Amino acid sequence: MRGPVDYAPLFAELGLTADEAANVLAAAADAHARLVALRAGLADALPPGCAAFALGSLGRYESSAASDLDLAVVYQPDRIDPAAAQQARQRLAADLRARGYDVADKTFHSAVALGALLGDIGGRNDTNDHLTYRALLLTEGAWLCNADQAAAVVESLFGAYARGAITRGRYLTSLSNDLQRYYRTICVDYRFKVESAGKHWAIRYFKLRHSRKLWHLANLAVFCRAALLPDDERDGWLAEQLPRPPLLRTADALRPLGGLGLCAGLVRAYDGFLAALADPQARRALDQLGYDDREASPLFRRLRDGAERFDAAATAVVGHLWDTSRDHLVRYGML
Amino acid sequence: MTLAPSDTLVAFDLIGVLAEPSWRELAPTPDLARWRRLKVGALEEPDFWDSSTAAAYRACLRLRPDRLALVAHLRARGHRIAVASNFARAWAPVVRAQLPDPALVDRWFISGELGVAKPDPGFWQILRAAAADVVLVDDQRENLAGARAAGLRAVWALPGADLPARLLAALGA
Repeated sequence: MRGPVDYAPLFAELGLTADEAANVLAAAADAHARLVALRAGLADALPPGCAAFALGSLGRYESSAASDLDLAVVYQPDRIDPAAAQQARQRLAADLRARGYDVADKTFHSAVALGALLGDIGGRNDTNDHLTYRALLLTEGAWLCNADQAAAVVESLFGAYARGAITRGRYLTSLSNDLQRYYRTICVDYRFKVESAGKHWAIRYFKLRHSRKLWHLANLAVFCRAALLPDDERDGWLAEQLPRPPLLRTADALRPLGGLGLCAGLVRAYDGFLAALADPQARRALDQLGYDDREASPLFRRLRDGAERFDAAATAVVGHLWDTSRDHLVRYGML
Repeated sequence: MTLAPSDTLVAFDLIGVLAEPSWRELAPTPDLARWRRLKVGALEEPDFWDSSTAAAYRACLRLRPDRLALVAHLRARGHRIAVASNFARAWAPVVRAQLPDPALVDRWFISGELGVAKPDPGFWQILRAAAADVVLVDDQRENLAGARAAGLRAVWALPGADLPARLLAALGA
């Protein structure tokens, strides 16, 4: 994305009022303001050879004051020593924490070499972490430091799929399969985190049913749309669309397929979810909610009702893809 | 007629091709109406945004090392190199100062200095007059179409595509 997300034309097309999508608009404005401030403040925070990205809600332009920051630092070993890259990443994380950001040291706990993300896609050494980096850098990676190198990183990732000699497929199938693989991985990862690792279940449950599912739906729609484009236009369209926020890329895919109106239901349901995520009290209540107590929680029931509406809207979108791009949906999205 | 490499001027766009980021990524409230005036030199930078944002943009504005390597390779092959960009007059010196060798670029076509911006036909007219053969490298499809309609050759700096391979193929290398 180049600059702020402008949802206004889409919402006007959909006949949505600002009130109906107030939280989507607020999240987009919050993300742009944060990114601008961080970029200005971190201009010299990393040495050459490294790029820093915000992934997650900030990278999707869906953040709020309650959001954490998924910091990814990618480096090129021919330009910077790995140990120096790790130290730079630690300094940057400390800087961000000093600015009040909650920077978790989870998947993105250390700087990663670009070659590690490219060299063995699908192979023995291709870890879930590598898959996560690739999927998120391609679809929700907003640069924080060294924009020049960030652009080169994202282009290298896309190029790793686009330049596949045997496996890329006419529809860039290796990329769509890898994105689907990431989605399925996080769906299963939910089970481990909640059942075995003692993590809070409720907020993850609702993220799976909203932001994760929308991310997957958007990719599905984009690839179904791309399949109908002339061969020489497909890669470019995909490269332009993938970094856009999921609601926009779903809309851009559905518009030429005659299904744009179906986005209104998605936006309305998603707006309610973002409202809850932006509310620190609601987040705290979800963190403290025991699984057996869920039916007694008005917040849980409200969010679950929203998730049902979101499912209905998403199902309608898939139904439209079935009608308009069935061959691709079935052969590449399902089989 | 066979063209020598030096007959071909390879004209690179800046943001999205040779350099990053866009001004919109640093502007708290991007004003496209002002941008349209700034990029043709009808507005000065202090009237475009505040001084702290201007300083932040200068601090973030960088030439891409991988693309500089491509430019150097083309130069070594004997091609002439240009920068052809919709860009503010005040920002051009920041980019020029980052070139490892000022002689790497033969000509600068900066919209803010020329008073005309892509895809205005006047911009292509100026570019076309600069060499017998001009190859534009740009990431905006509208610019590629405009350049081709004006008789220039054009190569899309498509994200993820192998730009060196595509460009060298276009140059007949």
